[in-house]
Amino acid sequence: MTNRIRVAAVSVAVAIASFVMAGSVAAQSWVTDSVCPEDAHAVFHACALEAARVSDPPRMVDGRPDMNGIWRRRAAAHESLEEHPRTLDDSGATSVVVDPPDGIVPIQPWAEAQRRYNRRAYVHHNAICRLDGVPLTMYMTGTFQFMQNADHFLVQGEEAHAFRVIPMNSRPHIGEDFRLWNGDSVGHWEGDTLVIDTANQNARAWLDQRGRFFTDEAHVVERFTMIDDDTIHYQATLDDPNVYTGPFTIAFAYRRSTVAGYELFEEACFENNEFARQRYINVGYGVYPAITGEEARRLKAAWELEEAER
Amino acid sequence: MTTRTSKASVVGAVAGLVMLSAGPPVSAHHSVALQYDMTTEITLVGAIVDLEWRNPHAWLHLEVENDDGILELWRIEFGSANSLYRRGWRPAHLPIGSIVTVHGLPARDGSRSVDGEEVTLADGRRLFFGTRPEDR
Repeated sequence: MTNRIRVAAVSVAVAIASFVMAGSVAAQSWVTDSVCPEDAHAVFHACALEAARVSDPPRMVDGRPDMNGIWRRRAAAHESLEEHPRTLDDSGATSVVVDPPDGIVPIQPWAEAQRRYNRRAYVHHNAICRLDGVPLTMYMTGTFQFMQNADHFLVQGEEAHAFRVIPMNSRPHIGEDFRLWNGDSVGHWEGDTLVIDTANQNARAWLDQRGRFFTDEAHVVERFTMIDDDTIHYQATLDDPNVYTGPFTIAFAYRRSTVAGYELFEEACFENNEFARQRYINVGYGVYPAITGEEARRLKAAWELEEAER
Repeated sequence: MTTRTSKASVVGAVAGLVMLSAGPPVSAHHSVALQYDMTTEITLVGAIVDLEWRNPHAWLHLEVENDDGILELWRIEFGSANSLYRRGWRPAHLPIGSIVTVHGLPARDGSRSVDGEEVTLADGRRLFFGTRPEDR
């Protein structure tokens, strides 16, 4: 090995081939035997709606479906809610948007312009260790632990050691003065479906890495339905008339992990992450400041005025 | 930070277009492309002077000799300590002073930092970064 710099004849293809070889020996770590085995989101969603009619999931002593366990989310929606290709930077996936059925997020024109600006101007909040907001926190990371009793449903993930402790008492949301990264979530059961209602988000989180955003007036309803022992049909409907032309719904599968003895580790984001953060700042990205409902209405009016005067 | 204990060597940057369909993404949790040039592959050989085994991203500090014979400090960014652990990495694989070869992507801001994809240890064993395919 020389001590001088030289142009290495290292082939990119060799490096990539090494990755492929490393991946080829690994096995899937979730249950694939399911009444709805297809992960493509529209296909899974349609199947799951039918399967839910006849499913008889394992139950707690109180008779509620038992979702305790370690689960893998089968989506790459954190990259983009919509269909996107596999690239070096993205895993690629079908659209998780199941309503509207065309899979396209029904974003208003002004907000689409804002989304494009977001993507150019701001670093994704997850990269600088901010909490992910709802629903992104349910698909940002890959593995979750769900725990439940009659009073609470607990969602534990490893990303930023984030957790959601959701009271199952249908209490009113906290006052409007409180705005939280993951908002205020309250749960209840509708038959065998767990329904979680979330408001009071600070709206500093996005829905995906494409800059899709919402305001602090957004309302999110999530639905968890076990369609067999090892598969949960997850749906989230986001309603924010400031940004979108109407409510829209995403859906995907959580499949039970097959890793024996899997434990979540502490992931104390942030452990002196300043150097990494500076890499974004140095190339011109800022930190997304959030857009309130009031600001969104002003931005929309300004955008429409500008368009009218073109 | 410790002083270098063994002769570090080389490297070079290989600029080249990467076939997008050829390999898996290097990250699953946030875009790498914002910070790093994904069209360029860089290879570094150097002596480990520090290992920051932590979340959300672990960092390896390497002393690398440049073309003028001057030692430069490079920082190699990996995924979380948790993800490295689950891939089989242990801090003991990367002792201070050992010589390693690192493949990765150079920073867009021109700093001597690299998004690490693969580390080859002195004994030839290779440690891969990136989300395991089964976990994607």
